[in-house]
Amino acid sequence: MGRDQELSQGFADAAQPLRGHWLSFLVYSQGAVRMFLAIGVLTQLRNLREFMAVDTAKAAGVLGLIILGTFLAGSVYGLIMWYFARYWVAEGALHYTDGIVSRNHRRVALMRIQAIDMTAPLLARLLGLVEVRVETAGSSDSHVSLRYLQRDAAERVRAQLLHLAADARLSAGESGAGDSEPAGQAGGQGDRSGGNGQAPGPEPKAGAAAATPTGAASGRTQTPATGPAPDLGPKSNQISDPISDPIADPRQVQTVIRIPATRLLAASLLSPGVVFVFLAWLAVTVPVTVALLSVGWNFDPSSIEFWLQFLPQVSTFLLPVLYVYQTVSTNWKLRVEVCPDGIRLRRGLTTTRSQTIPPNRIHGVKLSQGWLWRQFGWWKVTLSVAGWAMGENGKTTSMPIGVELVVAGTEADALRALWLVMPDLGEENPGQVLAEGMHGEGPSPQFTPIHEPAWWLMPVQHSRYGWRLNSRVLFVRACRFGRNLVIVDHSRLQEIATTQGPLQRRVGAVTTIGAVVDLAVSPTVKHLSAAQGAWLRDQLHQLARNERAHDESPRALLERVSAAPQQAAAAPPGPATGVAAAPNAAAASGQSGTGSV
Amino acid sequence: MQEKPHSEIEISPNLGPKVDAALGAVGGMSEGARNSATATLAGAADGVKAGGDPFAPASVKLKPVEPAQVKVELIGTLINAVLTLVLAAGATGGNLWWFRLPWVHWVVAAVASVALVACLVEAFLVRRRVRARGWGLSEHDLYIRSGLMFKKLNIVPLARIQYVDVRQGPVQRYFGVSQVSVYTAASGSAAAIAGLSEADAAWLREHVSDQEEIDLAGV
Repeated sequence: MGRDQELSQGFADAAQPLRGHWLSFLVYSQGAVRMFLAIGVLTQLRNLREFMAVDTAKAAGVLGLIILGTFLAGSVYGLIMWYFARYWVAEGALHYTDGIVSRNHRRVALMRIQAIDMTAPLLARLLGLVEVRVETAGSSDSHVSLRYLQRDAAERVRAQLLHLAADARLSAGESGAGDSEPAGQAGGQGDRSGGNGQAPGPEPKAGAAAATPTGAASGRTQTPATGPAPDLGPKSNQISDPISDPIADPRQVQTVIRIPATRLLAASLLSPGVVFVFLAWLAVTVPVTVALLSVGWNFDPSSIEFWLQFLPQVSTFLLPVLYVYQTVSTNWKLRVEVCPDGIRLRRGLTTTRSQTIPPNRIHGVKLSQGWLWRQFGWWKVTLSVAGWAMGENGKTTSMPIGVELVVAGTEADALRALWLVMPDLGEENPGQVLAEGMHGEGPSPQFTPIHEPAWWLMPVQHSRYGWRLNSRVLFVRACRFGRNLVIVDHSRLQEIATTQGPLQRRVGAVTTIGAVVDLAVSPTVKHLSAAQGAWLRDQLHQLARNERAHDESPRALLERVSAAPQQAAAAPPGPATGVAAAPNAAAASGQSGTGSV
Repeated sequence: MQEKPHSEIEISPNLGPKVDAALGAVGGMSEGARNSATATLAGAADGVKAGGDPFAPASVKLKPVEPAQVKVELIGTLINAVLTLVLAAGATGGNLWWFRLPWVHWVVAAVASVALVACLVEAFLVRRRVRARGWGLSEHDLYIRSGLMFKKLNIVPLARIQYVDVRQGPVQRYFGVSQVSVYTAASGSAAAIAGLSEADAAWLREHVSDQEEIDLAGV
């Protein structure tokens, strides 16, 4: 295992599997050492105690042996882990294999790389090693960790992968120029306007690079391979933090929705969980107190027992109080603003937090209200947004599960929020459909109900449950006592599935599931008839594919822009010619693309 | 596949009024979208024809997985059964040695027999379950079917695939089969199929996130 097989110089051209730095085994062995140590000490505890009584030196010797053995065993484990974790780049993809007993092989297409972060656990940092995390879109495990590299090697590998990813995107094309807009802003690529304003003739490549889905391409034109690469992916998809956002201009911000604090407080007090816990608390506390009083309660405020008997009641009572406080303090003075970057959300009692949601990353909306909220006409609007939440230090953290755009809004607020995020519902008469979806119950001309024989699989909400498909979105209305309306842009579906359980099979019903990026808004339609389910699935499938087909791949864009100067040479210059049209079209495709995820 | 079609599912030959209602819903869209979309919606008889099995897509013929996977899963069940017995013996022995509680062996026996019966049922169902699995690659999508009691047909557009995992445990390696999992950006999603031959798994790994395929989807 010579050093030539380590990743110190980056990926070779030949697809040779490479390892991390050899000292990585120490970091790998960490967990094993801790576990072995615990086992060793626990099993030998009795012996140790006996030795301790007789001979302290001997006890210390035994302890030393345990530690030494543990370290050796852990090191062997770490060496094996390090030796079998190998990485290589071949055929446009990053490969990673590990394991001896069970073998794993992960393949990540280079163009799918969304972000490359560097992190270092404490021990690795002490050894001067870092972990390079190559992130793709997806859940918590959606990354390949190159463990571990020396810092300069890590920088090299990172830059190399960024360039490979950018090349892959340019050469193959990805169905989603939609990322370009946030990438341009968040990456702070100052030449964004220049890229659009310049005629593509003299430098078509720069214009195209600025419009590719990542900041990497632009970074490539700006920084040489050895320099520190610009922050690529995490920001390309982020829900950006406007404090670090250079483009936010206060004059262009317009407040659209405000939630008064009193309504927020009342609404959180009336949320189903709080009411339920409070009622349960009453149901337990009142009889217990009455019983205690009737048998003669020991009133002795100086004794601890007196106070202790309140503990369960107080702590149960605290739960809803904490929940209400949490809800109120996070959503305090919630206001939805519209600014050039998208929709901005500001809220918070102790710290004002703000999130900017790029408009073309919203995959679904849920309008919901509990039974008590329904009496007052209050709604919650939850968004399903593709992207990452960004930590303070610019590190990628996990996906946000559902951005609550409006909490305790009036119906007008909810509809305005919906209109903000999904201006076109693909309906001739959206008002009627929404009214039916938000309030309707029983048979409706707009919504298709569940498969009749399956009603008993959905005993409570079957009278309201229904779905509606049009060329842009899928509506699913649900809930009997509360109200729930899910609206999903089906061009953003990631997967589509049909499922059927044994009970459903008895009545010939199926469930059609669409998977979007964020679980908060789930386009699942339950208990359709088999034929309807298959029909809906195929419609969704076909519609999503057609939508994707409209997206322009970066390669197609590049070809179009490269072709533009020739047209310009042939035609007289003017605003309607290819020269002027091409950058605008490029910008437009950036606005309307479906995004990479 | 020898498995007979799922005859339990009752499907009326015509789509019936509900689908007509859905089509009516489709009709109620904005003027601009209507022309293209109605054409799409009408012409989208790609997958299941009316009256067909909703778990058998028409556009692609699903391939069964390797029969050797039955042995792999049987061995897994056997290992579970042996582990159950070892644990039960350990618990009984430990009780006899230290605690000497009178009722423990009844509890152990009950739990162990339930687990063993579950293993038996499992062993009985393995063959059918493995046979129910199927996969296929069309021009744009990966189809994965699985499940006996809870059936599932997954359609994953190749353009959405983020990364692919191929896993192979020791028993699987002995029988030359692997498991392929395909991940999209949808959180918690994993369309997985266990029991592919090594060659199929490697081929699938290289092709489902292939550049050409992704490009095709973008055209």
